[in-house]
Amino acid sequence: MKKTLLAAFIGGIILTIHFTLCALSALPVEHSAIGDRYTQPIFQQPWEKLGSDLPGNTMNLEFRRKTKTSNWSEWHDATSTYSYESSSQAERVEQSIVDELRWQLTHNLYSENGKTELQSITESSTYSKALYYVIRLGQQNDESPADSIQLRAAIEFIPEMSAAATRQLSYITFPPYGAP
Amino acid sequence: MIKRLFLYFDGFSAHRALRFMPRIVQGFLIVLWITTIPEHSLFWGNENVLFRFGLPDSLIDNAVLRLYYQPEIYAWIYFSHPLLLLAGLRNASISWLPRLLGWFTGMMLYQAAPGVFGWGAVLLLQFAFFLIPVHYETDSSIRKWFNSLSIAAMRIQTILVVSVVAVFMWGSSQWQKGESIYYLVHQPSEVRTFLYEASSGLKWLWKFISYVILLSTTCLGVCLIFRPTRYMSTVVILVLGSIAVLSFNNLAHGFAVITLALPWIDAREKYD
Repeated sequence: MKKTLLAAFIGGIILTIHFTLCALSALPVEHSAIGDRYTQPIFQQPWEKLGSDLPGNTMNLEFRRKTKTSNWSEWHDATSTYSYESSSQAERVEQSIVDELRWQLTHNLYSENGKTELQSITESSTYSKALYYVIRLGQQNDESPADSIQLRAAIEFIPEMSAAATRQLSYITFPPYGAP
Repeated sequence: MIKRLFLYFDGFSAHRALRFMPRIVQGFLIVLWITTIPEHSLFWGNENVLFRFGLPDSLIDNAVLRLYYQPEIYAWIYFSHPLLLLAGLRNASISWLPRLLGWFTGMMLYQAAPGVFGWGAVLLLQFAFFLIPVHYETDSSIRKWFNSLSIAAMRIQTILVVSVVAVFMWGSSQWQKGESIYYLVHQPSEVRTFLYEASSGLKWLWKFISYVILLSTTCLGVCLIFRPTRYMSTVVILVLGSIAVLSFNNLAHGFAVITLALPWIDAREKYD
C-alpha cells in the first residue's frame, strides 16, 4: 500500500508541474513566458485560437509577373491559379501565411503625407514567406522564372450579421520585387 | 481524502480507454498522413514552398525542427511515420518504441509545416505522446503506473483545453453575440463548400450553434469531472466532433475534438 501511495504521489507531482506550466503558457497571464519556454516546441497549447474572434474578412494572396519579353501579367490567385481547390492543403498553407500578413497589416500599416507606407511590412519575415511561397509554387508548376513579381492582398469584407449581404472588395498592393 | 485520490489514480491502471485509445489516436494520425499524400512535396523535401526563418536553437528544437535544416532527409521521416504508427497499434509490451518514434516523426512533420495540420494535430500528437507507455492488461507494476499516469494526463489535458477555450470565448465579442459560427462559415478554406454556400443565409442557425457551443464548452470542464454528468458530456463532445469532421476541410479539427472524449469513456461505468 505504501508503495502504491508513493508511486501515485510521484505521478501527482509530475502531472502538477507539467500542467501548471502548460496552463501558464495557454492563458494570458503575467508569467506565461515561463510556460512558453517549457511548452515550446513539444507541448504547445494553442487553444486560444479556438475561443478568439474570427477575422471579419477573407483574404487571398494574389500575384502578377513580368519577364524580359513581356509586360505585367494579369493578377492571379497564388494557389487556385495552379488548380488547387479552396479545400486543399496548399490553400490552408496560403491562409496560414495570410493570417500572419493580416496581423502585419493590422499592426504595421500606416500612411504618411497621404501615402500608404508598407516598408515595415515588406521588411518582415511574413512578406518573405508570402513571396517565397508564390515563387516556389510557380517553380513547382514549371513556370519560367520571372524578372519581377508583385504581390497584393485581396480582402473581401464579410458583411455584419445584421446587415444585408453585400460584396466589398479591397486590395493592398505591395511594391514589385525583382528587377526594377 | 488524499489517500482516496491516490487510490483513484491507481485505479486508472486498468482503465478500459487504454485498450482502444492508442488505436484510435494513432489511426487518426494515419488518416491525416494519408490526406497529405497528394500535395506532400509542397511542404516537405527540397522543393517545398515554405520559407523558414528565425528558429530557436536548442537541443530539442534542433531535433524536432530537423526537417527545416535538412529537407533532403524528409522521405525517411515522411514514409516511416505511418509504418511506425501502424506498428504501435498493437497492445504489446514493446509497442512503446514504435509509438515513441511515430510520435517523434509526427512532431517533425508537423513542425516543418504547421499550417498544413493546425491545432488539431497538436492535440492529437500530445495524446499520442501520453499514450506512448500504455500497455493494457500488463502485470508489471511500473507499466501499470504509466497507464495511470497516461489516463490522468489525458483527462487533465482535456479539462485544460476545454477551460482555456471557454475563458477565451467569454472574452470574445463574437462568441457573446452568437456571431462566431457566422464568421467561420464565411471562410472557404476552413469549411466545406456546402456550408460556405449557405453562409449568407441561415443566420438564425449560425447564431443558435454559436450559443450551443459557447454554453457546452463552458459547462463541459465541470461536467466531465463529475460521474453523473460525465456520460452526457462525452456524448456532447462526440457529437460536436463528428459534426466538425463533416464540416471542416481539415479533418484534424474533428479528430481532435473526438479525442477529447475518449479518456473519459469507461464501459464499466455505464454497464456494471
